[in-house]
Amino acid sequence: MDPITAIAASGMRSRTETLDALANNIANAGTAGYKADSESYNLYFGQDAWDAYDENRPMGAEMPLVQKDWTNFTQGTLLETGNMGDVALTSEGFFVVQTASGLLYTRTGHFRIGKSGKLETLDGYAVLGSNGKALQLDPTKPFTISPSGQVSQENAAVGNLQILNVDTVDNLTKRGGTYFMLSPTAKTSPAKDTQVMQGKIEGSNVEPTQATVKLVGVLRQFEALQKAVRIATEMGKEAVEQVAKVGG
Amino acid sequence: MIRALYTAGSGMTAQQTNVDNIANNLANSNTAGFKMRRAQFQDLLYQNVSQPGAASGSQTTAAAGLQLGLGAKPSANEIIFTQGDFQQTNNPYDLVIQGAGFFQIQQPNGQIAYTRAGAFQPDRNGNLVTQDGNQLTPPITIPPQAQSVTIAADGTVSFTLPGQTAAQTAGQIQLANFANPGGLNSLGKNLFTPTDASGDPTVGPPGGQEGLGTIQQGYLESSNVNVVEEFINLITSQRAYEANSKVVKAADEMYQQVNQVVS
Repeated sequence: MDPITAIAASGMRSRTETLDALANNIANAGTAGYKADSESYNLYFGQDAWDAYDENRPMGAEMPLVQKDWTNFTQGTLLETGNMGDVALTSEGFFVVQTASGLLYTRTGHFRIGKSGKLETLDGYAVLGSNGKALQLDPTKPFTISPSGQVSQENAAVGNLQILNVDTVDNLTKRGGTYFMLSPTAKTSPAKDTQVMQGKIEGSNVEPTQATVKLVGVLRQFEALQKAVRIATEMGKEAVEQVAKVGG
Repeated sequence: MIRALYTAGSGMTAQQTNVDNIANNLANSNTAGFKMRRAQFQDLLYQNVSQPGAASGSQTTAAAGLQLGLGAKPSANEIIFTQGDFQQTNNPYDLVIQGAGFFQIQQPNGQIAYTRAGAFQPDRNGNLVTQDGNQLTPPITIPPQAQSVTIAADGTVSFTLPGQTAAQTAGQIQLANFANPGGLNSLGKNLFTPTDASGDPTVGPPGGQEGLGTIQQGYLESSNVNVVEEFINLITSQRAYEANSKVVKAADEMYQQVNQVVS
């Protein structure tokens, strides 16, 4: 493959991945607690390119690629639901839930009291209190949560919700169901200024208009790259035909 | 690109569910005692894409993983138990619960169901029944010749008989509540039954220590559907559907472009 085709094809491939990420964002524009994904473009330097770089010559093979994705953790809009099991965080921080395979972090506060009396998410994962243990409540009574995260039943405090800040959000990977997994080496600290709002839920932070505009951009870039491939093919064809003419 | 097609497809399905739910809410905007539902969504699993070449270059920075999500799914549509408006009817058997709680209704199969719709009537035996003829539990019986039936805020039902001055008590209405009413199971006809998610009912007198609401006679609780809010939801849902369909179109166009490369 000639360099133009290879570079353009690499660009096309990355645009399809951008489209995949964009499709997922748009599909989740209505998912509470969802955080939009973006991609980071980078250049792949082939060995030839590095050799050329050392010798101060123009580079031969550097290809655009989507090297990693990053999640945009900006706050989503807080939506009033009036449901006492809905809890939203006003600033940074995550709720911590216990699953069979370890701890998961989430911003989606859809909680309920399970049959065993534990405060849990809709998926049945126990929500942890500030002491790192599941919050045990009386299933026959409704609960209230104060802005500081204190859970009470009939004016008697039962415990505090654990709300943790993560040192760098890059250490979080998505697990589906708006849960995040934290890498084991990452550090957490209790969130200080974050308020807990009962009866509200944090909406998705995807901006559908922005996403649609980006979609058009990706589409046109892809088209341009495809044109580049065609031109490169044409050039190759021309070269062969011209050479053949001279030879004949 | 096939990934983007299915991802956007899942988003369209999710928004369809949302519109179905909005349609049901709007259809019941005049149903007394109706409680709206709100659809909730979750993101699906993530696919880890290995990037060929990214880690092989000697001078390239360590590549973090590339995760691509595979769309959205409707996860739940919970019932929102906000209070509906009170509508004055002056019918002595129309009751509203001011606050939390449910009337307990005996279904024909003997099981208890729960409702916020307090439009009762005495049947031919004088028992208070719902519009479907299901009895209120514990039963309240009012003799046919009773006059001026009064139902107090604490649920005490009293009446006077012709020629008597002293009022007689027919019983006290008991209410039930749940730890998580949003997790109740809708039976239709404004009836709910408990589930594992809702927890077991706590029964008590209206206005009692259990935190149950009080009863108001001569009113009906309107549906808590906010038509304006539902229309806003409908518009956002429609736009989200549109955005997803645009993605399908974009993926299709990109696919076409690929096919044209080798024309």
